[in-house]
Amino acid sequence: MRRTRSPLVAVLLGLSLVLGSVALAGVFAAGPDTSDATTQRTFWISGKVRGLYPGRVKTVKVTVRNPSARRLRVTRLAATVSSTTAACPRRAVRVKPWRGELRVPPHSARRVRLAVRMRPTAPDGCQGIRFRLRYHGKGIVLR
Amino acid sequence: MRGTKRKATIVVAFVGAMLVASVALAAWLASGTGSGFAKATTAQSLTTSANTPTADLYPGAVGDLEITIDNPNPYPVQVTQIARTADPIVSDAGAACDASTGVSTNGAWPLVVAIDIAAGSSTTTTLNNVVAMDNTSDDSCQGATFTVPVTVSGASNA
Repeated sequence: MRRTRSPLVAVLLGLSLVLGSVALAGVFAAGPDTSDATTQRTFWISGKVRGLYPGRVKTVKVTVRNPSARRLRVTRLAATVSSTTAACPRRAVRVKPWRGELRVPPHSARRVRLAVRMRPTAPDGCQGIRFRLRYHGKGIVLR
Repeated sequence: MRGTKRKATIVVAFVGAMLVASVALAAWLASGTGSGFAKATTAQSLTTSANTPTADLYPGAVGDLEITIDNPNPYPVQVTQIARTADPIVSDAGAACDASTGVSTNGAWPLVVAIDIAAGSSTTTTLNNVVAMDNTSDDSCQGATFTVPVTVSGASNA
């Protein structure tokens, strides 16, 4: 009895795996409805803040734009800080990474607040400096 | 009985695999990038102004220095040092007194202090026994008020 059903089990599981593989391949390789796959899968992040000084924690309102025709669910946002002068190290400023769930409708934008802090030990060379923030985030484009 | 259990297992496995496939098809991974900036303020200089303390100087005596420090910055600061500048100590009694005030600093200068000043405010502090008058003070200096030029330094205390 066991021998007679084994091929059936193998066939069903094999079919399942094939379907699963095709589905997963679709996640990573299949293009969207339009021709520009990159645009569909990418969202844009921007945000600026002024008035930092040693010890100060400020909130930067980060705008997440969803250029896609599909709903977007952002789960992570972070920023890399770079300084424009050797007199002020980039570690003088830190942006606290964000984790959560931000739902952005198609062709829309939403805001999320990130905390930016200048270390109390920031040197004088940091006065008036403009730090560049490079944002990066992760999310899911929903069908 | 055993066959039924196996059938159930097969069905569950198949449905589970299909479910995974459905979830995978339902969502695409997305990544976002962008840029912005964070700008630091530029510190405004602390300013000082002299006050008129109680008359306690005479030849051979030490006295106090009273100083008002103004913090124009939008953040609190702590003044940690007060030092003399190269400018001479002058009086309000005229040239004869200014030529020979007999007033000098007393003790260890620069002064190490810890004076907290709130954002956008000022504070007045009396520094005890930090000036002295010797016998070279001109007679015209009697009743005079002396101005001791100093520079203050500190840091953000946010």
